[in-house]
Amino acid sequence: MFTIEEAKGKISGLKILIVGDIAHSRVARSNIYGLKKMGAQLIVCGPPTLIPPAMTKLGVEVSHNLKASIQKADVIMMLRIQEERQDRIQFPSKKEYVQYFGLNSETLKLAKKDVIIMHPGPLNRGVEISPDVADGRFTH
Amino acid sequence: MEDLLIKNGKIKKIASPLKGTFDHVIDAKNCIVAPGFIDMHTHLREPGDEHKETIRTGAKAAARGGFTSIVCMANTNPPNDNPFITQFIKLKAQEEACVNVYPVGALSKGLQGEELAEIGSLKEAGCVAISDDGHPVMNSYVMRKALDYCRHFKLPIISHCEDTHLVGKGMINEGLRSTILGLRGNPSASEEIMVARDIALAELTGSHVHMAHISTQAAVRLIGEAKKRKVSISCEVTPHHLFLTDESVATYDTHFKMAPPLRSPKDIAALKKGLKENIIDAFATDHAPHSNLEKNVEFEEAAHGVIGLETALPITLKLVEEKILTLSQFIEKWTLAPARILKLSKGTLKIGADADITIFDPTKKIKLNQDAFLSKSKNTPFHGWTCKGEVLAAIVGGKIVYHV
Ligand SMILES: [Zn+2]
Repeated sequence: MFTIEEAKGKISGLKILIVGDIAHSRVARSNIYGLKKMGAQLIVCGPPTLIPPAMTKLGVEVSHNLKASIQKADVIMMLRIQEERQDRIQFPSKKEYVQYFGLNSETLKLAKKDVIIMHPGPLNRGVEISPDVADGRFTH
Repeated sequence: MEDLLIKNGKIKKIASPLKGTFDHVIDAKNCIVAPGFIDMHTHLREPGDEHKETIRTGAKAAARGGFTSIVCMANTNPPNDNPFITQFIKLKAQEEACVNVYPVGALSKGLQGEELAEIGSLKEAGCVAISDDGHPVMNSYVMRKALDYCRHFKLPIISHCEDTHLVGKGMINEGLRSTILGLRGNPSASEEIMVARDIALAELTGSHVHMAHISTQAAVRLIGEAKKRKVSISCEVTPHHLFLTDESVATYDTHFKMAPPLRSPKDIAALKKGLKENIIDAFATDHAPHSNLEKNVEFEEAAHGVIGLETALPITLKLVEEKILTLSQFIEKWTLAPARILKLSKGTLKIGADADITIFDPTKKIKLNQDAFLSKSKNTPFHGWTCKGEVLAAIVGGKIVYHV
C-alpha cells in the first residue's frame, strides 16, 4: 500500500485490479479490505474457479476478462499462482492460464500509460508475468 | 402449402407459390419439410476405432437418417481433450463429412475425471460443449470446478449421469429381469444420485448442465422440480430408452446392452410424460457404433451402446401417433431444442438461416433393416421393426446430401 501511495500520491479514487488466485490468497483479502477502506475501487480478475462467488457482495467488481479490465486500472496487482497438485484442478494448465490471465507486454499495451504493477511475494516468472514485464520499468 | 427458395446455401424466400425459373426443384408434396435434424449426442469413432465408424461413414448414416448436424462426443482414442484432436476432427469433417460435425471437448484430461482439460483452447478450436460422456465425473469437486471454469467460456457441460460406484458391475436394470437372468443389476438410483448432484452443482455455480440420455422416472421428477426453481439445466432422451424395456434382454442379446440400461415400463411412462410436459428438452440418439468384435460376445463381455442415426426419426415419430407430442413439438425436439442448448445458429427455416433441411414422409410405412444401413456398424436394437416415417432427403447448406 505504501508503494501505491508513493507512486500515485494517493489511494482514494484509484482503480486497483487484482489478478490471479483470489480464492486462496490472504494477501488479496487484506489488500481488498485495506484498499477499500482507503477509498480505492477494487476489481478482481481470474478464472471463475479462483474467485469465490460471494466476492461481489464485498463491493468488489469481478472480471474474467483481463484485457477488458486492464484498460481501467491505475494499479495492477499480480498474485502468485499455486502449483501444488491439489490446486491443479483450479485451471487446466499454466499454458492456458497464461493465455487468459498472464501479463505480457502485449496485454500491457492496453493499460494506462502511468499504470503501476505490483507483485506481492515470490513470482512464477513466465506465468503470472512474462519476464519482459517483470523486469520492466512499471514494476514495483 | 408454401414454397421455399434456397440461394447460396441460405433460405432466401418463402412464398406460396414461388414464381420464376429455378436450377433445381424438389417436389415435397404431402411431405414434411423441416429444419435439418440435429443429433446432439453421436459417437463417431475417429480417431482410434475406425473399424466401428469413421467421420465419413457416421456422417453418411446421419444424412440417411435425416440429420444435417451431428455433435460428436470426446471419447475417441485418443480422446478429444486437446485442441489438436478437435482440429483433426474439424478438418476431417470438412473434407469427408456430408453433414455438419460439431465436436464436444473432454471435461478432464484423458477422460480421467481428475484434472481439467484445456477447456478454453478446446472452445477456441471449435468445441460446442464439454463432456466426459461415457466416463461419469465421480469427483464432485472436479465437476464443480469444471462448471465454474466453463461459465467463463459460456459452454454447457453434458453430464452422463451414473454413479459408477453404485453401478459396479451392473449391466442391466436392477429388478425382476436381472434376477431371472442372473445378470448383475444397475439400480435406477445410480442415475437419480448423479442427476440430484448435478442439479445441486448447477445451482451452486450458475453454470448450465445438460443431462444426457436420462432413463428413469426419478430423473424426470428431479429435473422437473429443478426447472420449476429455474435451475440452468436441460436434458435429452434416446429412442431406445423410450421404446424398449429390460424385458428385451431376455435372450441375452447384446444389442440391448447400453449405459444407462433399458429400464421398466414405469420409467418409459415417466419419460413420455416428461416429453409432453417439456421437462425433457430434446431427443438424441447416443449413436454408439460397435463391431461384431465387441458385440458378438458374452453379454457380460460386450461393449455398451447401440447405433441410432438411421432409426431415430421413424421410432420417435411414434410419439406423434401416440399423441404424446404434436408434429411441431416432435420436430422442435430434434431441431430448435438442441440448437438452443448448444447455442448453434441452426434448427430453423427462417429467411437468412442456413439451408439445412430434412424432408420426410410421416405416413410412409418402412421396415427398419440393418443391412441397408450406411453406418459401419449394425448394432441396432430395432432391426425388423415396421414404422411410419421415411426420410426422403437431407439438405446441408443448400446441397442435397441424401435422397431416396
Ligand atoms: Zn453417455
